[in-house]
Amino acid sequence: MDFLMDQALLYTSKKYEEIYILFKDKYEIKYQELFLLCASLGFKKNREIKFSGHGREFRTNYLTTRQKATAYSIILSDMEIGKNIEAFEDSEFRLKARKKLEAYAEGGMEILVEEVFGHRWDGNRLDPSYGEYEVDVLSHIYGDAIEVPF
Amino acid sequence: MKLLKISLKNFRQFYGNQTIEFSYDDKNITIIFGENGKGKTGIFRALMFGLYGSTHIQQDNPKERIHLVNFIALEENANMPVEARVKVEIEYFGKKYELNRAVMGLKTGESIEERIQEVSLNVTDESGNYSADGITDPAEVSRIMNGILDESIKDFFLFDAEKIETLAKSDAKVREEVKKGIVKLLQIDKLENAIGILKKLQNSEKRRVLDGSQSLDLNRKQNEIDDLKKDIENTEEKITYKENNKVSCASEIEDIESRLAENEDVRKIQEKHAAAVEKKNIQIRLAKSKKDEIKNALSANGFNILMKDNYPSVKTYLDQILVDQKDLIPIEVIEKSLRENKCACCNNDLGLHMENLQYVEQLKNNYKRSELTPLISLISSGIHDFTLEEEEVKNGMNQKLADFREIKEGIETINKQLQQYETEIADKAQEQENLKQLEATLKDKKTMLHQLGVEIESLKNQLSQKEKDLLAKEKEFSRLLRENESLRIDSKVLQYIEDLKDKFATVFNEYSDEMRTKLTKETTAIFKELIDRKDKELINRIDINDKYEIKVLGWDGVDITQDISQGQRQVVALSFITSLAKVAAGGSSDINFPLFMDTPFGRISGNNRDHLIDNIPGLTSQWILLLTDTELSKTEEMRFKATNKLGKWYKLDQISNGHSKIVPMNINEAMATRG
Repeated sequence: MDFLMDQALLYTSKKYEEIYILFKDKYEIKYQELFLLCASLGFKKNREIKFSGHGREFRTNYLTTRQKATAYSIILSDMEIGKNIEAFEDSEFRLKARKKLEAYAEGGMEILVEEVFGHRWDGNRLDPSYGEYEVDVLSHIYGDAIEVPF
Repeated sequence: MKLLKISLKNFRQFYGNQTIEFSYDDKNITIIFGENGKGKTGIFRALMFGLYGSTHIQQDNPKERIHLVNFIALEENANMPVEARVKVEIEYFGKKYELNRAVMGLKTGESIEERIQEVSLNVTDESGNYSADGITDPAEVSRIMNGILDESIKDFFLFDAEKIETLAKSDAKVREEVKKGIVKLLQIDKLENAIGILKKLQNSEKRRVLDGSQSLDLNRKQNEIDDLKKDIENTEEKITYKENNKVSCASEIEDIESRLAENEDVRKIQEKHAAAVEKKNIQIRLAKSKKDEIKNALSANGFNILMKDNYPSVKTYLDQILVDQKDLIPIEVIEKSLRENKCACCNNDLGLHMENLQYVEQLKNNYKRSELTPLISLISSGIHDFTLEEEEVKNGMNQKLADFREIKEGIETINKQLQQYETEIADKAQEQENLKQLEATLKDKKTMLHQLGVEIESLKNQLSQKEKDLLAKEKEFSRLLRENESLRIDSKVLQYIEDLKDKFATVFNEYSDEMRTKLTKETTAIFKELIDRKDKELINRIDINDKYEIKVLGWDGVDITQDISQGQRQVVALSFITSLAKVAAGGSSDINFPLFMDTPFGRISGNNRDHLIDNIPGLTSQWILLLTDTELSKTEEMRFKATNKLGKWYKLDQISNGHSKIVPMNINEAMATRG
């Protein structure tokens, strides 16, 4: 049932590959960490983008227990495929769920690009001479989290 | 190896017969003192000529002619051949070696012709038996000498100030020097050659395949690869060029600042400026460690903060699933009942009571839901744990972000203060006519330094992108080659060459990695002994990285190679050289090669000099120094004498133009000419 324990692959898009690489090389933020962050953001802001062409990849079993809990929460909360934990044993559903996570991660990254990275994103990669992306990202999601929703 | 004695006859400015005896064992320091132009480098040349027959040293332009025969002697014997001679005596593993080399000069009119003469090597064995017939075959002499101290690594033991300058820079040339040192010490130069040959073979095979092939795609791809390689080379050259500029720009700034410091008012502001810089560096490090905390918070809880509003509904859904499950009876009990056809709880015979059997079977069918329980508890407990710590996590994030902002504001304030000091220095300089120009240059140089830093950074980014592109293109090329049916065999041959090259490279890297680790350890240890105490804590490690660059890492692991002063850089270079010598000497605790240094203290500050003087005699078996007056003031002289290791003391006197005299001095005599 815990299908993220399998060694299935999760992909990021080619488009944002360089961002994943930069965060890994410069800040030691692993692919799965940035992926989950983006997936959570994409889900929260309801932005999912399907993509073709793979960039970076990692196996779902790299996710820690805490990270898995969040990934499952995203799947269970989704309007389209959510609230259906019984379906977790169905391999077709599993594939659909993984694609969902990927699409949210892609949407979340697009939000980061638009709202956080801004002009430092040249359409291909982030300006490597700037060194505070991690501060800006945390600042953004923290600011968003304490806003009172009306 | 011990250097015992060098005798010169009409060599360079040493007219007539002159001798230096080197000190060793307990008293292992020999100093040859001479102001500029009096012949210190002439002694260095004599040693290089005597030991290896070198007519040029590293600082010379190899295309330029270097005269070795004394001009006065030539003048006195116009149209007659004059012999210049160098005899070096050394000891190695109990044997004494006496090397004689000569060069014949002839002056006719204004032109001077010089011709290198025969060499002879006489060996006295451990029992004192002298070989009267010297070895005169130059190849044999060279073989013996290389066995004692390989010519290609001699530069690391017998070196001039130029060498330290070179190693103190951070450019491609240093990488080459460092790599050479490592390769020679490990004696893996043959392996390196093999890799080089395979590379060439690979290129020529590729060319051959391409020339014979009709594939436009392959040719196009190869052209792209060639262009990219050229582009990469160009970028690397640009980086080296700019890095050299940066180093000389920084040293010019240091020079100007020290000249400005001669003005009392300026010096006072400079001191305040330096204190502020120190403060700023501390803040920068604090900011870095705060950034690490922020990064950790982002990885550990960023996703939780984003998902926190959805967790309650997920939790409610999961709780409901658990309630709906109603799996109160464990599967083991159900299965046992069905297997034995008897209820495991009340012993009811299920064979007789069909309705009960159907009920138990139904229980089993429904049971599958409870397989969800571990997953539900995994998700629920994840959510539960975060709910418990949510406030703490949020406060922690807030605090870290606030701290970081505060530190940055602090740095901004210091920057303003620094600007203020710089303006004050400029104002003071403006008041004095002689400083005006200096100040203007300083400003330009600082702008230039900053600009260079930005340009280098951007070039390095471009370079790494291009290297990635190259790798992708090469992969693409290999794929095209494999897919081309008619080139199947050629593709296999190329693959074979590449595999072989990679295997050699792996062996090469394994050996050199080990040596790099050793050198990193030794260099750091020696550096810690040599550097001034106040700087000791600031620098954590001297790293020789996989690109053979000497990197200086600060107390927090940050690369500060570009930020250390020129003097500190020289101590780094000296530490590296000393550690190479030590590693070369094998397991023995001290270095069994003499360290022969020509004008080594140039830019090294007073405190650091003292440390070098105190410590190098303990690290090496023999230390021979050619020192100029600015390197040997009364302070250094006292320091040398205090080591109790000073054995021989010579002074170079200039009798006339082209005639220097080596004067042995009593070691108790005062020598320094400057205070």
